[in-house]
Amino acid sequence: MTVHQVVVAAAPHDAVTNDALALQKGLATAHGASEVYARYVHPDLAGVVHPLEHVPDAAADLLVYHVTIGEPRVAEFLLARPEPVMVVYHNITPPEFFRPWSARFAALLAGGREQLRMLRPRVVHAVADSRFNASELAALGYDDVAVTPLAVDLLALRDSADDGSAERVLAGIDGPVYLFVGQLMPHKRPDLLVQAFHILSTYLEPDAGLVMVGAARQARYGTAVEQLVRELALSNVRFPGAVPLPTLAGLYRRADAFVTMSEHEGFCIPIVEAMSVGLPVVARRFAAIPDTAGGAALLLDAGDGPAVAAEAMHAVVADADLRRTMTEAGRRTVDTFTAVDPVDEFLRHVEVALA
Amino acid sequence: MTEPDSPSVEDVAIGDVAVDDVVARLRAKVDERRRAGLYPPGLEEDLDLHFHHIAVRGVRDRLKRLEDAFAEVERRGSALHAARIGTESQRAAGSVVHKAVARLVARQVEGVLTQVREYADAVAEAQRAVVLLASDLESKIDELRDRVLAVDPASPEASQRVLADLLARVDALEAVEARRRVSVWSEGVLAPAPGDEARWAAIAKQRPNEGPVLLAGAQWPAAILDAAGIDWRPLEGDPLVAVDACPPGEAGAVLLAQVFEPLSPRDQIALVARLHAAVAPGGRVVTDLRNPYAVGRGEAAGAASHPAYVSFLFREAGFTPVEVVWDGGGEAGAEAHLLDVVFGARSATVVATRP
Repeated sequence: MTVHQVVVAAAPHDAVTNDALALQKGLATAHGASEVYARYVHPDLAGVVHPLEHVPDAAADLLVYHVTIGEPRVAEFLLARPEPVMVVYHNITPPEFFRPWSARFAALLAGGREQLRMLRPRVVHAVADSRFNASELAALGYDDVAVTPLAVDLLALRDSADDGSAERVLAGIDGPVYLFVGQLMPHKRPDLLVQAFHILSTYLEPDAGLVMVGAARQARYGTAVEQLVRELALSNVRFPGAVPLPTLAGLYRRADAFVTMSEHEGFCIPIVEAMSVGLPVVARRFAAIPDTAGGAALLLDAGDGPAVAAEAMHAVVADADLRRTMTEAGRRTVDTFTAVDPVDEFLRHVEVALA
Repeated sequence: MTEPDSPSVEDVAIGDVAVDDVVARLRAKVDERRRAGLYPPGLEEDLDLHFHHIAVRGVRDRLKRLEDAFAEVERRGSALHAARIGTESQRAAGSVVHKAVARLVARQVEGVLTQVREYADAVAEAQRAVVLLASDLESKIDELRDRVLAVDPASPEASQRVLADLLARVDALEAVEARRRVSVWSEGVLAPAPGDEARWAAIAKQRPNEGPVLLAGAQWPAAILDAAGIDWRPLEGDPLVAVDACPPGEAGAVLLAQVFEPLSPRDQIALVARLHAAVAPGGRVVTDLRNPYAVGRGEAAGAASHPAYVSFLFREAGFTPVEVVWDGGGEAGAEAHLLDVVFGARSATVVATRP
């Protein structure tokens, strides 16, 4: 049996790319040669992930398509191929978040949902990595969507050696460290987080620091967030960009709390990562976040503004009882994700698709 | 749809602590701080507004300045009126005279103003077009920045563009290098090294065939050729250009003194091809090559001016036979070779005959 995987863009430190590469090992063991192909391949992954046009002409037994965004050429490619398709839905962010910032990107996202509808007749099995994502896929006309966990490599994070790079990021911060991990994109609302941190550091914890790990993929939005930090004179905010694993692991270890103001997540791996290292999590009740947090995070409502968020950030660090309770609950949530081997689960679904 | 095993969303409690109760307490604290005057009125609204101003300001500030400047031009244009031309005077009867003159030339003044207004209207129209164009360019630049930040850098098209840019830069550098090479020849900085004159005496002893003998490159071998009674003439300036200017198939011999070393590999190939065209059947090209191994010579002689490589070039161009005559005759042993490398030159002459 030959099973290949297709992703739109493959890049280092990208959750979906990591997921596909982790699953590739399982596929290779179970079914023999298995490759990952992408429309866009970051140069650092050349030879690991192959360009889409290199998919052999000879039909495989199954193509697994990881859906994250619209890409007309990938949809055309899949429609033209003879193989059955299995969809792994990681979520497509609603285009509304991006319309004020990038019409082109918003159009790609809107196109993604359309392409999923077009692909429907070719898809023999569909899985999603959260209950929220499964419901979205069902709304697009897919039946019997199964939920299977993402291949989150928490051990790699826990075992990563400290190379001192995290301390360099945190240089000059003496107080508690609040960590955000995720791309600086409009739907993740880092702008709201900066506003909350402004209130926190101005009125509640003057020495606090905020580290926002992640690439700014939308230039205008990323620049605006950084400009807000400058104009509010928040000298303890750091933007290290996307960081390698040792730095990320060091930041998780050194942080006092994880906080995200995101308004849309298909899963949100950083919440699980943060809980795995014992950090209390402050987040908002949007999309898949309540599912992923599993009742172990301090979840704010949509109507709660930056002042309540600042108060929550302060509480999870300053209130020792609350912090301890959250840390313990977080570990229990992590256990629910680690109790099941995501690769085994995925292979089970591949068998269903092949049948 | 398969239900996941993750914790229930409705059962929102961190351990024994109900999340809703915690958040309610946090909201109450925020209200208390507001009532106490810790938070200024409208704090959150101001922060939100501030970010939105930043978001649109980046582009609009620049466009606004442009629009304001053009509006001022337009305002001044519309204010053109004869009534604004003063008629007051400090001298007795001066005002009467000015008013009388104004009445006399009123028709002409109005005519001039009409033309100026028409001109100002045309300028204002052009200004509006400039603002529109600038706005359009801003959005296009934003889009390009987003593409660069997103996936395009990893695309094959982007790689090809980068490669094309690099090739263009290489061509530009080679063009600069070519100009620099001409100045080297014209300044006559080339001088014989130990062993060169003896080798040229040996070259001169080989009586060239019929036809003109041409000397290209360094001109110091002239005296040696004269002493040997050879009737020769110089090929002055850039050897590539000079050889190209020779009448085809007429030269009996072309002697190259320190020509190959400073040439780029591409120019070396071009020179050999042009020599083949310039030399008469049976004619020879004698190439003087400095020791490519000597580390103490202070010259940049590399593999591209190694006798073996130069011989290869001549053979490929159609010369045969092509002989290498080493200084001192015969191939040296390992020990002699090491001495050459460390202490001095071991040069060679390549003699290529055109069949």
